[in-house]
Amino acid sequence: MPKRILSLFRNLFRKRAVEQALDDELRSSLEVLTEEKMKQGLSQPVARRGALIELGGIERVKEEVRAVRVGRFVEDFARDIRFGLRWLRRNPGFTAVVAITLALGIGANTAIFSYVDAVILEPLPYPHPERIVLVREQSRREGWSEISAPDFIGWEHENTVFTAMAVENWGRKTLTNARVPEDLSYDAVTPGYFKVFGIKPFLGRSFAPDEDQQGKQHVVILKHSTWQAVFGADPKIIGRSIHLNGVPYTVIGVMPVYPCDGERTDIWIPLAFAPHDLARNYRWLFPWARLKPGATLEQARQQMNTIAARIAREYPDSNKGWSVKIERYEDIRVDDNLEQSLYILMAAVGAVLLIGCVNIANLLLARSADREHELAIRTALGAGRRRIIRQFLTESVVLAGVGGVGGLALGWAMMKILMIWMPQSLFSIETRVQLDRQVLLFAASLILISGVLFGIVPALRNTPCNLAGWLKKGGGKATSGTHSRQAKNVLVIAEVALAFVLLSGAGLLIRSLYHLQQIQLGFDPKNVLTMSLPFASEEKTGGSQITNYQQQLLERVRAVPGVRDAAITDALPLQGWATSMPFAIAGRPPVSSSDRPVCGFKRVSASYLATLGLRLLRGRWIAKADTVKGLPVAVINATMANDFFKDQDPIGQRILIRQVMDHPSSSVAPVLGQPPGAKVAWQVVGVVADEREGDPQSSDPALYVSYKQSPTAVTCLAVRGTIDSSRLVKPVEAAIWGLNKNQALDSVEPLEQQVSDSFSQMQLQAGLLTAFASVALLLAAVGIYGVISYSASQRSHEIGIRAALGATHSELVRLVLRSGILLTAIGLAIGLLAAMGVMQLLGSLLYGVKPTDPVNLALVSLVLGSVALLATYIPARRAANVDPMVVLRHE
Amino acid sequence: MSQKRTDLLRGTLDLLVLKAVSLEPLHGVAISRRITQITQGAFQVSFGSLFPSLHRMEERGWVEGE
Repeated sequence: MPKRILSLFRNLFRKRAVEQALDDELRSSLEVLTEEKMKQGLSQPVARRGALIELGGIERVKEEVRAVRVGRFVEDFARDIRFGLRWLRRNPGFTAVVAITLALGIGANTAIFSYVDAVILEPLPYPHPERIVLVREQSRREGWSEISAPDFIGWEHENTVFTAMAVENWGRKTLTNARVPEDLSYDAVTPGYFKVFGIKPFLGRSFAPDEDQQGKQHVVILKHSTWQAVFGADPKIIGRSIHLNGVPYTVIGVMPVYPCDGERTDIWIPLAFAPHDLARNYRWLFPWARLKPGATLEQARQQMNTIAARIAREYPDSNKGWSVKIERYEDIRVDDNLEQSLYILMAAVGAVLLIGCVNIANLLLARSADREHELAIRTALGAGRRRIIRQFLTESVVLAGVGGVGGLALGWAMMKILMIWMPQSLFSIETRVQLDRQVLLFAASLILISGVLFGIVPALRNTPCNLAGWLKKGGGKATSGTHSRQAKNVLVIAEVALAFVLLSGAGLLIRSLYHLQQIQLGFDPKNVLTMSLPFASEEKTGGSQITNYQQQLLERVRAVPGVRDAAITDALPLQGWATSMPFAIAGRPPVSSSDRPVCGFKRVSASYLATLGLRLLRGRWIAKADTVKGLPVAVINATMANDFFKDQDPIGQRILIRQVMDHPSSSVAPVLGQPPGAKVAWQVVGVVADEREGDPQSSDPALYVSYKQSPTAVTCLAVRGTIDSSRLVKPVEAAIWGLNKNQALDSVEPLEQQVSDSFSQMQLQAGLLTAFASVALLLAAVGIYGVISYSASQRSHEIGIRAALGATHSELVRLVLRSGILLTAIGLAIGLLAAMGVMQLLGSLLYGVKPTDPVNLALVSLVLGSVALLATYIPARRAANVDPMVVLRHE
Repeated sequence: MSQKRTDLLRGTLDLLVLKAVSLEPLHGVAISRRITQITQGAFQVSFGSLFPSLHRMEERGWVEGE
């Protein structure tokens, strides 16, 4: 074996030496033969001639020797590539069309695959990611939930299946000893957090086990990008003291860029439980754990549920009916809808590439008629069928490579553009979209596969070359045989069917989007500016102090010119309910606390109704006069009225809800003279139409109360202007800073923007699919056009004779049209059947429209049919316009 | 079928060449003469077959050129 490898090396890279040796050898043989013959008495020239004849020609023998050398295959391959490239250079128009088609197909596939890879295929960037689990609580009534602090403490203490457990909770703090007050979002975590994920700090250390104790918790870990942006990448940052909401914290660490920089948080601080955090019925913590090596998910489930059952026996009031739900993080990090959308987009771009390949195959088939001459010569010179197929395939792969390089560049650009369009919130924080090794490998195999795909049909169709037939025609211009025309017809039918499926998918998504946008928002977003005011709650103690500050803010903002009205709330529209609370209705049979229904609980100022344009259905809205001193009043939404007061007038009913406690570590004092956890009876005074909070497809029961009767540090502001809301930003900010120059402002955005953002995933999906479907439609049209005009040009002789014999123009057009229409009709029929099946996969992504919606299918048939007709009509008309004299004279 | 026959012929030629050079190193022309001699004129090897055979066997390490 090594001997052959050595020979291969010599044959490929020492070609001149090898050739020289062969030449020497043959020449010396010639000498020997000549001498032999001269010894027999022949003269030198005669002897030499005889020797040459006996040898059989030096060059021929050389060629025979070359044919058996190792590495002959590689040499042929290189020659085929060179030949392919030369051929492409000579046909720039053809090369350009093919390269653009392929670049589009490969580019779209690469871009979408880079997302599929990053979102679905790429493993989580932590050591042993399969051991990271979420340990949540669930009850039959409420589904899954966060967990309470005492439950977490119990679990962490008692379990033996996890190496580490941690809970986290988010919030915002203002960095106060900086040049400008900087609003930082923090992630408060218990010390096991980084151990669960196995992340080592980039600088300094992570939290010590006792840093969740009161008094030791004033330490902070920075995110890498925060360290760079806010602290100028100060290498001596460790040990420095920074002020958060006026309280000094010591910097103990900086986290590495990846995977932490994807986090939506800026800093980590220890989560230290205050006494009032320890209520068992308050589930507010997000729990993580790392399984011990060897421990199974099943073991963990068993043990945790044993512990939970023990806790539930001890504290039935808060824990009865709750069990533990453990899931692998890697199993749930990708949203099902997102995963489905990505697979659908992947299928769509795959179809686009396939149509592109079909088109190229068609072009090559048409071209190969011109190459029959070349093929005949090659066959005559002894090239076998296999050798010719190999040459064809090498050429098409070279062609695919040329297009593929363009495709990679295009794919990179598309990926970057998608990154701008896609809301980051769609992805888990570890997601890093890039053209990495897997994506490049994918693109390379795609290039190879498409090269073979569009090369194989022409290669098989053109071999074996019918040498005798070609020679009989005297080497004249050949017409492509019926088999090649049939191949082209099948390809066109496939194209039309594929385009049909893509178009119907796009149609369904567009209609779903339209339906979604028709859903009542329940508020009027025009000219409304919203922002959140992260609050230094440590600075203000007691509910009344907070309420007073909020009221001052409101008055300042109202006084700004151009502001019509302004409102305080703890949750803006489209952002969910700040709090959800179990409730009971006074006067109805008692329900055990664990079985109580839940409603959204929103605290607003009296101006909320007018500022956001909600519609009051019955009774009255919250008034300015509803203060701490008055009767607690509430306005319920229409869903609540329908769900719970169907046969009863809700006005005057009383709804019992435990006093809401704010978190984290807010120091809102008990209001209305009652301790936290005590029940408050909210008297219903009105019913308001539903306001869209999040999911457009459902609405929750909810009630609104005055921010004065249930104070909260969570403060958001909605401002309605008489002018465009973007022009209000500066004056409103100035007014707020006029009151408190340390007040940080976050997410200052027009509400209209958020409304359109809430459709963004759907819009993007529908937009992308429509774009791909349009490309498919275009490619299919080009394909039909190509085939029809080619076949028309081949029939020009026949058409000329018909015209000479008196066929009218429209008869001739119809003649050519007929074949195109037949192909399109078959394609449409197959596409229709395929679409009815494939569209079922869209299922949950659709809204208000069925997968087999007949209107959609009819529209798609219409669009595709007319485009196909146009693509047929143009070449048909041109063919019919032919001058019979020209055609006949050409003969 | 035809493929098989050429393989057989090629194998025979290789064997003849090996037999020819088994006694002493020989030149290409001499090998041709020796084969004709061994087979008593039944087998006249053309140089177009002999040289490829020699090169193939050299690449496989069966014979060595000098």
